[in-house]
Amino acid sequence: MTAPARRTAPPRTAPKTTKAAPRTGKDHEGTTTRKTTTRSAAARGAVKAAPQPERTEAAKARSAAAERAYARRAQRTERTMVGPKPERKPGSASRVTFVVLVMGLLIVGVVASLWFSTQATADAYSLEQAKAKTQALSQQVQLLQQQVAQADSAPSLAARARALGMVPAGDPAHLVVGTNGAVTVIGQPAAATPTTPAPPQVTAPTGSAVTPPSTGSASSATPGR
Amino acid sequence: MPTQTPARPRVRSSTPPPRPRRRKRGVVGANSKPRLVIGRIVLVLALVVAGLKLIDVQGFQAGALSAQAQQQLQTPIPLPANRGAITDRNGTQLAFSVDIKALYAQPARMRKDWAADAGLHPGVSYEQRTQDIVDLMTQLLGDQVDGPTLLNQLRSNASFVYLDQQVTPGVAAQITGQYAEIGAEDRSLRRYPEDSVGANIVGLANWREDTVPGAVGGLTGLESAMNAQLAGKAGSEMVDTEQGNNNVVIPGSERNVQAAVNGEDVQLTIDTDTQYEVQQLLDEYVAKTRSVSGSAVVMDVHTGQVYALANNDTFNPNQPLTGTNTNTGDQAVTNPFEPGSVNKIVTMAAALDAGVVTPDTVIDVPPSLHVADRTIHDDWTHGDWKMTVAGVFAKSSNIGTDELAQRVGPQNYYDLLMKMGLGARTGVGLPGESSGYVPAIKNWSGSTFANLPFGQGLSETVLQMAGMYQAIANGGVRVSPRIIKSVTKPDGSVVTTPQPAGVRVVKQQTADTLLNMMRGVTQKAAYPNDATGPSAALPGYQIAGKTGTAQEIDPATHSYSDTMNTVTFAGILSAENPRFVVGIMLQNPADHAESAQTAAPLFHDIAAYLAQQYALPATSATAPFMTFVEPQS
Repeated sequence: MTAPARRTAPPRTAPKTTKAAPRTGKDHEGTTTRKTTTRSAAARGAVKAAPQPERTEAAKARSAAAERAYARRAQRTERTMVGPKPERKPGSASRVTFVVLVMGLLIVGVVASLWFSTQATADAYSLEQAKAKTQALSQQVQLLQQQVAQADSAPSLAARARALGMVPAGDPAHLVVGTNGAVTVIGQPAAATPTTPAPPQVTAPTGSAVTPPSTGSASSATPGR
Repeated sequence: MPTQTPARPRVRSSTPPPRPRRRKRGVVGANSKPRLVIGRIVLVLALVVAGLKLIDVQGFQAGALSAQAQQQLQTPIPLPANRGAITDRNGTQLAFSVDIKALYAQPARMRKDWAADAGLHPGVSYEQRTQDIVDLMTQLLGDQVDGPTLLNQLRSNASFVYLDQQVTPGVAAQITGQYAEIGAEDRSLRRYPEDSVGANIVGLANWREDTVPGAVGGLTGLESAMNAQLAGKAGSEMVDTEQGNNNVVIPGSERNVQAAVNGEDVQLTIDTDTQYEVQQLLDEYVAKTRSVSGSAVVMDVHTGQVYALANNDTFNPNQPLTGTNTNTGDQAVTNPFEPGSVNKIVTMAAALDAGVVTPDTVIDVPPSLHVADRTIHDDWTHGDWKMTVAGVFAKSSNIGTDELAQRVGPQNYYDLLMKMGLGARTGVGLPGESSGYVPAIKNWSGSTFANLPFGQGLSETVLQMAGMYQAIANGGVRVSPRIIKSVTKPDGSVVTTPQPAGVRVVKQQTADTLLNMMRGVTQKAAYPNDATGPSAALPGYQIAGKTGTAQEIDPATHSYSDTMNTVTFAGILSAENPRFVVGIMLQNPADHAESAQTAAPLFHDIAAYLAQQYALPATSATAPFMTFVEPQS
């Protein structure tokens, strides 16, 4: 039941559209035909590729109304061509300068931005090189600081002092100057003697694992380990 | 076409009428029409194809392609944060970071690539190549690497091996420059130039892969406790780079920049030289007395700043933690012990502060004393003695001390224990600090108050022990010890650790009296006016202090052992001009000779060093003779 209903539906509406179409179609035709005639005339002229003689020929074929229209157009163009021309002259000169100026600015801007971006890109390479150099130098600084810190450390100094035959001083004797200027010796001055054999150090200063072979002198300067 | 063009004008000029022209056009059209049609179709098809491709590229593949392009172009750059350094009070570096490289290889791939490119290096086998690599590495790295091990690694079929994880960047560049198949990874290494000096405090930090990017993380000590402050915060940025060289950044392409925040530098109150000397002396003394362990602390009397905090056998953070190099703890703050006689200072201070006695007050000291269910003895046998309070302290009489405690009363005594900072952490700033143990007064039994006055039945760390003597040396005001002097923020601002507010434990006068009385401990005199710590005396300085020997709990019997002792000494340099407090603890010296059962000689050595190192003024005045035992009447 539903299927036929559907089928019948389109025909009902179809006539409506067909009826409507001519109504609007007439108006369209009226305008379009006019346009197409003028267009086709122009087109024909173009195809013929002989504008001057043919146009006059075509003009002969045109209706009077069309002739008039052409005349009016010609008049109109003449008016517009002739009338404003002298008035515009001084203004157009400044406009040209302005346009040239803007174009110049644009060109300069484009060139400048190109130049700058090229320059920046080129700088990126020198920046990379500079960065690499900085890194290498700072790593060298780190290495040297590390060696200084290592050589400056208490265990390293103590070991080197022992290697030179130095021993702890023990209890020192003090000279105390009294208020009356008299000097009192406190304690017994005695020569420092190695009491016990040098104790095994808490830890030997390590020949740094990160010390390159070229700087082996730093670790060889810490004997007695 | 060229043949037709000359014909056209001829045709046009010769035949102006439309018909032949049309025919002529028709003739031209007959040739061009299919071409035009085909051309049109081809063009349309090309357009359609191009359009479809455009839709495909711009629509369906857009995401994937742009991601791919981005991937080729953009490089995430990690911005590692510099880990802060740790320095001592004079700026000597105790810990700092250096950049190193870890060299790695992909042996399986290397072998495959070498075989694939055999044409490029005729006659050179993979074995020869690896041998060359190892030769260069052993030449540049010396003992740091083992040649045969490296060869085995390179000739294995492993997909990835680390050859050496601690190579200086310069050497790494030399190796990777010569052998492109060897890769180098950025690493940071923590260096401890002072080796084991202060390692118990500073601790250890090592390289971790568990963060992105990898970073040095603290493992023990302050490196661990202050890790967040030291480490800072790593940043990152996304940049576009040249293809094949991530170091050439396309200008202006930096985005998503999250700047790295560098770590804070930490300055300790430790003096490296003093720390070294104390560690050395302690190590020697522990070895000499064959003690199980030992700890020592040197504190500034007025500020509570810790100048040295040592344990025996402290590890070396630059060496692997194996064998004997494993003592990464800090027993001086983590391990409390029963102090013994050294704690009699609390009883004495309480008695003097309460005004129940003066140093010269003579009290009756019987051979033994019954308190609750306990019988208290002295360390030496004596008859019914009349001892001065100074004598009770200097000769370390348990009986006399208990008698004084009875005069003071439990509450006063307990209050002073609390004021002395026992049973509570000092807040020194070190991780794992123990609070020690003091039984709450409400849980005391009768015998508790018999044991506590002479230092048994409670526990404390060597730092807490030194703190009590600091209070007395500082005119009765206890200043909690501190080990972190200041922290330098990444912007350069220095945040100095404020000195903790002092706690008045006893009256100024009591403190002065007690300080002078404590000089008796180092008095050299004939029996019975001899004292327990004459070997602590230092010529030119009046040393005030107290010895201690506490019985340890025997783990076998769970009772006090007769042979295992905790030997302590706390002393002040010096009584007339207090500058330093030294606390020493030795655990269970195996040498049972009387000379080994005291820490006084070690105090002497440390004090002698401190006096020289800090140029403390010596005086010709000596401590007045004190009578400890009244002649028998």
